[in-house]
Amino acid sequence: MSASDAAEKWERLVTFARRRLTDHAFHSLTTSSTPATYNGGVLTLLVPDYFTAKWNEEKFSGELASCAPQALGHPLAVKFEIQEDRPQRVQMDLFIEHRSDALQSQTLQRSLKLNPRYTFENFVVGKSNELAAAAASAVAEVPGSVYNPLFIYGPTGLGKTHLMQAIGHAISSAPPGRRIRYLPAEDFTNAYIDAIQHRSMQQFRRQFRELDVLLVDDIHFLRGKEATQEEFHHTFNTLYEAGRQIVMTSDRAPSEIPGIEARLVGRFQWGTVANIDYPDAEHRTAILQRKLEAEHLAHAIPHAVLELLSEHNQGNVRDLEGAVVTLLAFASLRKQPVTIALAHEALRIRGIPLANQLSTDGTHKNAHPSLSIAQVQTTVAAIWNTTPEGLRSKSRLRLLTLPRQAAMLLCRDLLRSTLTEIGIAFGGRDHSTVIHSIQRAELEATRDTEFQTKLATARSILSVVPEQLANN
Amino acid sequence: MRITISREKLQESLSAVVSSVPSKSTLPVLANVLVETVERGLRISATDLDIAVSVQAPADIEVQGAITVPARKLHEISRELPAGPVHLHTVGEQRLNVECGQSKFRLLGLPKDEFPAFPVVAFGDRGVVQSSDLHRLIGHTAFAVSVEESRPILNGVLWELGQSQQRMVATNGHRLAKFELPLPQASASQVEQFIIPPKALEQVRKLFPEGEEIQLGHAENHLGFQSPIASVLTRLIEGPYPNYEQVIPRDNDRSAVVNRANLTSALRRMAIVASDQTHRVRLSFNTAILRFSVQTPDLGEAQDEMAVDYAGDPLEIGFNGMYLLETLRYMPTDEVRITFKNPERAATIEPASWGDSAKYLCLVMPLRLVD
Repeated sequence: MSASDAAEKWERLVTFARRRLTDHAFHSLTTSSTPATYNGGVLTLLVPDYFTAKWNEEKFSGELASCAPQALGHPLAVKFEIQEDRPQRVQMDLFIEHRSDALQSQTLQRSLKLNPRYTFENFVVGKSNELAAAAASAVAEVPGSVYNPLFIYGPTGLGKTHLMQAIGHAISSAPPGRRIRYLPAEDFTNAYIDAIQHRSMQQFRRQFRELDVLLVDDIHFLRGKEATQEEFHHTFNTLYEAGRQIVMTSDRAPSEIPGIEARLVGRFQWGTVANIDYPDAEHRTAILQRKLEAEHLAHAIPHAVLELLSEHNQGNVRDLEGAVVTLLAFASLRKQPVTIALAHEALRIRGIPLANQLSTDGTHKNAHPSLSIAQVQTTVAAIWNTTPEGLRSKSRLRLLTLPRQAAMLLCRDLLRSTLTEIGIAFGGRDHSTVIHSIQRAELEATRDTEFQTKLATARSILSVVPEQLANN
Repeated sequence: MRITISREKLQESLSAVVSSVPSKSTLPVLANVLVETVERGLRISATDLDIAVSVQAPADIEVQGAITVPARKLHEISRELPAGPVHLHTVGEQRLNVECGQSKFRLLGLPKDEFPAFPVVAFGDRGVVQSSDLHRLIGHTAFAVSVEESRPILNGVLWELGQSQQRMVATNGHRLAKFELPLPQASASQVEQFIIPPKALEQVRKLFPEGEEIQLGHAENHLGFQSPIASVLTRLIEGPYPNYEQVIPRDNDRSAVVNRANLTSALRRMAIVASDQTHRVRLSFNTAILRFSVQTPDLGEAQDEMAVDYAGDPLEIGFNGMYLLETLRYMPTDEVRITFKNPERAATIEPASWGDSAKYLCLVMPLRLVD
């Protein structure tokens, strides 16, 4: 759980940091801060007021972050946030801004609970997300006018939440003071349930219908929740009719979300539906670059290593960034600069697959010696009741595309074949087609239980008895 | 060690340092004073590890030496001894004989080497300050420091030495005091800032009477004040001090001039029934009249009013009565000028019609008036 994680990390961090701080400083830091959450490499601590938050931020954030690799084994950023539920004191403070000041936007920002790193500046635009990014920018500029509602979908970890929160940051920090709310759909559901239980529906409705901008993350969470969908439907209508901006994200396109009422699906599509796809290699490199710049580590990783990471990590952005973090921690622990060799070592040890790890005799290191692409094709064809030739053919019948995608996925996972090799073995297909197919296979595996089962079966057959396969 | 010293001088010296002896400490030697011979007499020192003070008194030295003995006991002895010269001599490393007339005492102490060494501070290159200036600066600001632990930086007084002026600032986050004096010549080429524990400044006030020139010394985390017969060395509080300039309001457009004594007595009356926690007093300014009101549930209420030189729009504002009273106490003039913007901004209090070369400004943040 995030909270006890946070406490534990804090404990270890300050124990280590103690020797680097004066007694006085240590005391001041530890008595003023309470660990709250640990998410995405950021440890958040609660402090009583803005003054303390600013003070601790300036005096300790940098020091603590630099201790993290040694104290915890991985990098970490430390953030101080104000404990919002403290009652407002009667005695006002010289150093703490008063609520009714023009600096209300700061309070607003804090209450929006946005990740400070999710801004437009930090968002790397590429072919896979340029439409979504452009729409989001436009919405931030003039909410409620052109792209309303804005529906952004795509696989996890590619930046949907980032983009949505960037809209939040941009709107809340620019005048005029707009009433804006960001929350995951799960929170909306919980708030709705709360409102029913505590008979505070009026307040609930005021909260969500008297807004200029509503940002709801992971709207697919409403799947199957009829009552909440009903409420959301009304909320949507109220806002839409008044020309207020609605932005939603989801892991898939509106029409593909199971368990959502048709009239909601329709509404999701009333404005702009933009999709974020996997970034290509160049885009991935740019993302990594930006991540490093944001952490003031622009020169920590040579470009060649970044390209290596991009090329071999086709996962989502989070995986990419995770790889960078791992690499930096590894380098810091080893007290070595980051090189290609170090990168190979670090990522292998951490179990992050790096394709193309060739051993000296040119064969794939991690591949099972007697397993071949042909065997994968044969096994998969058998399970899906088709033929290896069919898998290699150009046919786009669903009967064939599904097992073809499954087979490609297995070739990558079990054989560590390169995309090019797979492409060639499946009828001369392009490596980008192969990427796409593998992604489709992964997606299908999350949606279709039959596909999942077949895939698992194939996987277990191919992993266990390759010699017997060779004999078949 | 063998010396002879007058009873008065011994008692004076001990009185001067005994307040620096910590009342409880895990280190036993801190409860002692260090008594040692120096060129012209005796030096007596005390420390609590953050602040170290020492004073010198003339004495006849027969044999040089040093020892530490329980501070309070020696102090009491020096008070109760009969008139006449006091002979001090050590027996071994840990015993001190104190004899005066027929009274003989032997105190058990600790060897001098157990006494913590003072950090070395280089005096002479930091220039001098006038003790009278220090008295004024400290006297008008030190009261305003924070006594809470939540914001330790505010537990210290800021001493800023600039090109042509020096100032001290102290605040607890709710009220602030800033006192500024011109400097005849710049002591350093750039602005220096020290954040000093008020206890040390209190010692400075006690040990350096007005009219003296005090040498300043500075070493990393310590600041030293030295005169021929006394010295105060203190650990400094790590900065940076919050930006106090930023919180001084520049656009307060309503002002009142009030008689200090009248305002003080009215506030003292109101304070009697004000809340123990917030000490809230509601002030209501109207043309030429200031009304006070206090309402404390389960206790009672009070009203009062007084004439005031005020010509702005009506203003209702709440304050912690204690903050106002304290601030007024240190105002040097019979009349004070108070300025406001609105009930949510800091009010300023300054001496009115003050012909001094010094500048004095206090701020007090209001209380929310929840109705």
